[in-house]
Amino acid sequence: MKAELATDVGPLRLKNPVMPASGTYDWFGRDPEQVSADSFGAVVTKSVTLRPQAGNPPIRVAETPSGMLNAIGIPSVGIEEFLEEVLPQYHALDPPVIVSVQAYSPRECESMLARLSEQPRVDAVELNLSCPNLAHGTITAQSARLSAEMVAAARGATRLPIVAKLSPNVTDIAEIARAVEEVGADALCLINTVKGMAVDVETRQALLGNRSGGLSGPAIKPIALSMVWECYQEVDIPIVGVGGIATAEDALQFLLAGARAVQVGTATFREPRSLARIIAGIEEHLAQDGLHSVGELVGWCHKGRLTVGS
Amino acid sequence: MVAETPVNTDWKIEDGVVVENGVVGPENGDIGRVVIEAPGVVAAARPGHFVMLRTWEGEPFLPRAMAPLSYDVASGRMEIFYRIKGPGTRAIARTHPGEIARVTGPLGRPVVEDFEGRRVALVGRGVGITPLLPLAEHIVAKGGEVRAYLSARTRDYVFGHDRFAALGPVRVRVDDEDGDEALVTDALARECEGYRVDAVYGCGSWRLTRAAEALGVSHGFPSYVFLESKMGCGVGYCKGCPARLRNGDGYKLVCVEGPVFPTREVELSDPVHGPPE
Repeated sequence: MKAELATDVGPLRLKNPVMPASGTYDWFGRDPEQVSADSFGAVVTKSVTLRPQAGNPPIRVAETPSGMLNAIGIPSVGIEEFLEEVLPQYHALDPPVIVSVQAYSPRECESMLARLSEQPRVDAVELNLSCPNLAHGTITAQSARLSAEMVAAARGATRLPIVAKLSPNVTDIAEIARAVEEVGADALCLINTVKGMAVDVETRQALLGNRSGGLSGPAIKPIALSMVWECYQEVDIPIVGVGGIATAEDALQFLLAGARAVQVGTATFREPRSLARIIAGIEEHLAQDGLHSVGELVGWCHKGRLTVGS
Repeated sequence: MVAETPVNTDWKIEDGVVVENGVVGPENGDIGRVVIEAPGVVAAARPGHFVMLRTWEGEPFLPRAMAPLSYDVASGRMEIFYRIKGPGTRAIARTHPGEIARVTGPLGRPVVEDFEGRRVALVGRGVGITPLLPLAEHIVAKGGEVRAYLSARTRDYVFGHDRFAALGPVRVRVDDEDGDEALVTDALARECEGYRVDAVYGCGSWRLTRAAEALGVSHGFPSYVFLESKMGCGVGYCKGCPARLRNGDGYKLVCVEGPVFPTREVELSDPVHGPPE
């Protein structure tokens, strides 16, 4: 029997639990032959801002052991051009479209979500509360109060499912998770990149144009896993796990720790076919273990050890 | 930021095979040459294209952007010169014939100008010479003329010299014979008097490309630059390879909006070492 790959993330029904992380895959109106967004559980856009912004100066990326730093700074055409030029291209795709939103204030968040709510092909929004690369200073997701204000503003402006993407750069992730759950977030996305830095010995300066950046890739997987595990115990809303997933086994680990779906980011830069391989690998694993659905694995860690005959 | 022409999505990921690999010039030198058989990518490559290359499993995590010196459709082989300076290029240097080389490409926007009857000057230095050869071959095949102005540390590093020479006149300046103050563009400057140049393409040296651009301005021909950049993915996903636009007008992505730009569009200075001295 074929295992059921479908999963629910709150009100959002996905045909499989694997989607790209925001800013790591782009739909250009068509895909290369070996990559197909139609096979993804969902498509997540690069974060859009209210007004156009250029992004950070070079250098924007630096490799690290088992990963990379980025200081991209969210280049964005702004919400109006996004709605006119970018979003319509997504109509061609089959999976749900999750629009990632970067707002600098609750008021901005409100006005962007009001615009997005009018769109027929937006299935959910992901609130990027956690980009570490913006000149504006505070990461919203470092404060429970600011996070709650942002999510509350979003909730007031839309009936679309809201996924709150949180930052690992905090003392107590569960506190932030509870705060956004309380004001109506439908799901959590855990985690954004970990703040980091690279120094160029030749120039004796910070390597990245924005000085610091966000660390991603396999290097941060243990951090992401522990935060998914912890929040699973602390909140009732579903979790989308992200951080260093490069193989089906990595994805399974996140499901077991409590994620209902996963996002794949940096691995796509190394191997653009990563998502398809991970989807196939999960299916194969379910079949091997005689499981009927992905849902059976979600949060298994919290149920205790798998013993023979259980 | 919506591109005027569609983003190139006609690339493929191919498991190529390393056919030859070794150091060029002195044995302890820092330049390697690798020949890779990857017929699918080779057949589709046009001048201006580049590839992402990974010859290793495990670390380092990301592939490396490379601009081949040549694509030979008959043998399905591409020839790449690379400067050995970090973990990725050191890993390429350790590769042996018969091993797998994963190639993603061809990437970027090809050069699609009409070259019939056009006289084009090519100015390159070091490994930056390499993307100019496919362009030179293309121009000549389309009925244009090329002159190559090549610069390097030593003669060993004037890559593809004989193949450029088969296509048109070649001028060479090498640091260890001519001194590093002698710009190969001085030869271009002299030849611009009395010889009509319709366009110049530069690669591998900010100094030379700026000199070529200045000649273009004074003699009224356009100049173009092949940009190099650190890249995350090479295919337009990560937005990690910005070229700074002139007049502070934001950025374009080297991978999908380049790698070739009119010099009037982009700043001709090293993003690491800052604006020109």
